[in-house]
Amino acid sequence: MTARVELIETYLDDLLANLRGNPASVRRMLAETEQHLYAAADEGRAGGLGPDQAAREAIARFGPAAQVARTWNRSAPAQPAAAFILRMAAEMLPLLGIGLLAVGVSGLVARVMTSLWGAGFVFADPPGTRYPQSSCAYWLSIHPSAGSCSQAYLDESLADGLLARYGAGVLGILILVAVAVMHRRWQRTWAPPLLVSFTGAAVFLTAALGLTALGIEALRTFGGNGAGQWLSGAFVALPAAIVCAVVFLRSGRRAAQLS
Amino acid sequence: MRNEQLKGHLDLLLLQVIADRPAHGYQLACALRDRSRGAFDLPEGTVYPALHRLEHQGLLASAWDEDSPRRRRVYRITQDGHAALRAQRAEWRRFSHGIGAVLGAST
Repeated sequence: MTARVELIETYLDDLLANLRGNPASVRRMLAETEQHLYAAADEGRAGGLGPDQAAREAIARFGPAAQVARTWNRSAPAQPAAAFILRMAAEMLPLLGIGLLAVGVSGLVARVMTSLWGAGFVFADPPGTRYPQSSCAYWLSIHPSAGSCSQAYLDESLADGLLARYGAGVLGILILVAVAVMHRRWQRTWAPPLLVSFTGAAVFLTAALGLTALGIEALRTFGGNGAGQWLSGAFVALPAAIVCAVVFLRSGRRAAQLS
Repeated sequence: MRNEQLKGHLDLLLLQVIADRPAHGYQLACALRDRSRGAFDLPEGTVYPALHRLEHQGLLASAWDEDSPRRRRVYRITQDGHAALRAQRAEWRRFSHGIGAVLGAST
């Protein structure tokens, strides 16, 4: 592939990665762009430019791929509803991965809290909670050294609670790796759309506020029993919300500059 | 002319150029630049979304020209496009006379 062709093909790939709309319209836009760029490059050659310079000139006159795509996306015929839903689901997939990873990290935070303030701070139920005898028997059979029903319940909650959070974290990592592999295969870089980063910021901020409120309630009302299970989540959700908000603001500023 | 100002009149300009002669996108971008003597220097790629939109509105029709060495999508104006062009030209003249009258009155 000559450098001239490579320049134009790279531009077409970049444009394709940014175009939205139904496949037939996108394909036509891409075909017309290709025709336009080669025609402009041919004209540049006829005007005395070298092949690479002619291709660069043609691309510069056509405009940055992101800007052309933005203009196109604003006026593109709407996608069929199913395709739109599928696309949005694909766009949100990294956010799901990040959310699950955050749950996993909150498991690590809960583990640290358990070490610092005991399992009761993270997993204990409110004081005075009574458990059915059958449940007590089950927990004591698994944790015979616990000595009491409430301690056996705590041991069981500690094992199950942390395992579930770690599992969510591993699943999140797998989703993020899968997304990264897919994007590498399609040679696309994932630029989080405004909607995705806004959704992330809103969800994480809501979670942080809600979990903090529950944690404070547990501290005030239940002597701290179980406060850690909420606060460990809030501890991770807040920075995640800040990161999403920063990405949203940066993307919004970039979009405003291009429009 | 600033690109933002030009975007508001792009439909009128494209309809006029195509009404004069059917053309493909590259010819249209060159015609806009040449006929405005370089004053209208939009990123050429932004012409295509406007062309597709005008076609979607029924003001233009297009077809691939397979006869040329490199196939091209050629646009021509429709009856509705001619009517829209007449209306937009009349509107532009009113607007332009109004601006001219105000500017003329202040000098």
